[in-house]
Amino acid sequence: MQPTKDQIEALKELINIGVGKGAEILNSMLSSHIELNVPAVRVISTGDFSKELQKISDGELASVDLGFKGEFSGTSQLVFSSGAASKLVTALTGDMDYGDDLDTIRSGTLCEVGNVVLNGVMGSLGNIFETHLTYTVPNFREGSVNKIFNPLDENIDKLLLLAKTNFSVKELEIRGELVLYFELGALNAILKALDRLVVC
Amino acid sequence: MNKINSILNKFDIWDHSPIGMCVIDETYKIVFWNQCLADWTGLKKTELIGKSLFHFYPQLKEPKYKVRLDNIFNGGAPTIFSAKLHKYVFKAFLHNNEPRIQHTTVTAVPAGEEGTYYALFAVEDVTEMTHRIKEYKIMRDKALKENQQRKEAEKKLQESLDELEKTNHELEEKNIELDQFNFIVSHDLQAPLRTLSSFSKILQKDPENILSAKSLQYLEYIKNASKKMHLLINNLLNLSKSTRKTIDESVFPLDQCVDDALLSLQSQVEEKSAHINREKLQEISGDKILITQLYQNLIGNALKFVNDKNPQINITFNVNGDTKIFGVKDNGIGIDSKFTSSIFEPFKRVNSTKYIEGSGIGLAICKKIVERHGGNIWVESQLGGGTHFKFTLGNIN
Repeated sequence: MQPTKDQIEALKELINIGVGKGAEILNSMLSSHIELNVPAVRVISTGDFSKELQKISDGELASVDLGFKGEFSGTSQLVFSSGAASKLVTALTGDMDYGDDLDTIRSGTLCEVGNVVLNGVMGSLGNIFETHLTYTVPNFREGSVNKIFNPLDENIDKLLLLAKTNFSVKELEIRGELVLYFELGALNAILKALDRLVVC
Repeated sequence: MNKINSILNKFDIWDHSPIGMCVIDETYKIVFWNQCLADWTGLKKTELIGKSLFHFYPQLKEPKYKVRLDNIFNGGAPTIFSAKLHKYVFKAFLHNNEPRIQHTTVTAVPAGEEGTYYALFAVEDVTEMTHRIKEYKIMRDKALKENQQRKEAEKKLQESLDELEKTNHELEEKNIELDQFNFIVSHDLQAPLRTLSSFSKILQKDPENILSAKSLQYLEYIKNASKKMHLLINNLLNLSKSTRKTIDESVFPLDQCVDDALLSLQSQVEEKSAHINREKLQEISGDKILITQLYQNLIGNALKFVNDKNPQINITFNVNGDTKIFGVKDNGIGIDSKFTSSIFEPFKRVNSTKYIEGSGIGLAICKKIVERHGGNIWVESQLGGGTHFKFTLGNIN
């Protein structure tokens, strides 16, 4: 089921609210000011998402993912190229520039940044839909497209929700992909719930 | 209440965990503080239970912590406080007073009553790991710097080698040009010399008896000078040939070269009543004509530089490790040690030309032949004590 233009607009607003909350928290934590926005939201197929990831980087990717269970179950994920992830950590911590290197301590930083953003978005969705979700502990992953995302996973819907996010910090524009993929049928349930909200 | 107590009792198992564990309720009152955290902070469980976490850690009241922690009591998503951004949540020190660097994850734990949650802090001590990573990065940076320096040194070395190769190439071309020049000049000089020699002979016959005795004497000087120049040009040609001639490689007994050399020197051997001692030589691979010429020049020298003694000439062969050393030894006048290195240069004569004929090129030719066979030639000698020329033969060049 493809979402309507109104549904997309409503989803974009919800995600923007969540990302905004995340940015607010990040700015209270960091000495650098960070601006976060979501310029586009769309529903795409898992195959197209793999292609999107390959566009980010031919090499290594870095992601933070947060699993959720409840009325609608799935995974929310923030994906960067390894280079962009390392730049973001360097900009936020004032650390030395180590190129694309993300060691355990630096990946812990990225994990926290992703955690704040994803919690903002999931909190926003949970509040609007007035539903309780339980969450996994945020997880950091690094590797090729196939390690970050498995389009052949039969448990996930063939369609997923993709939001492009821009992190602006210290004159750097760092692009990340925020993606929500749902278990079979969960996306339709969200779109129907959105309809109820839009009608209201 | 029983349900809450039952949950609280279950937390006790975390006293045995190597990870710091703390549980607070939604009023931030501490309900559990494990032994690991007690050890790290020095704050005992009995001192903390039932008291506000803010009393011990007031920084947690700051929005950057509290806003995120408040969400946990609503069953919200876990929250991470990473080592890089926070250094630690529960201030604690190592034995050397260094703060423990911590990575903390806070998760919601059902508190017994429906919809109520505790916040569980799981604190990992990553001090050791942080230091190791720092050390690793220092080592890596050092290795990268050394690698960079090595690459620069290799680049400079390569540039020097390229420069050397270019110079060698230029030198080789110059040598070839010089050899060609030598060959052409030597060849072209032969023709006027032949004319000079022939007409001198015709004039010397003087069929009409018109030349004075003095004129005939002058003609004899011209004839001798021509002969000497002919010898010199021939040797120059030989030197040129020894460089230019294509090596005709074959395997042959070295004794054959000595036989051929002695055959061509037979009249001188007989004239000087020379005694030749020969070691048995083995088969070698090389240019038979050039090696014969080498022996001919060395034996010829041994026959020449003897003064009044009967020459005693030894054809020698020794093995030193993997090296086979060939040689020609005589009992002649010997060479002053100050000349032993320059003797192989063209036109270097260490003995007076007044008494002994020669062009000063013979040993230069020997050196060229040996070098073209990948070997070395040297001399061991004492003035008045005889001379021993030695040479090795390696790969043919």
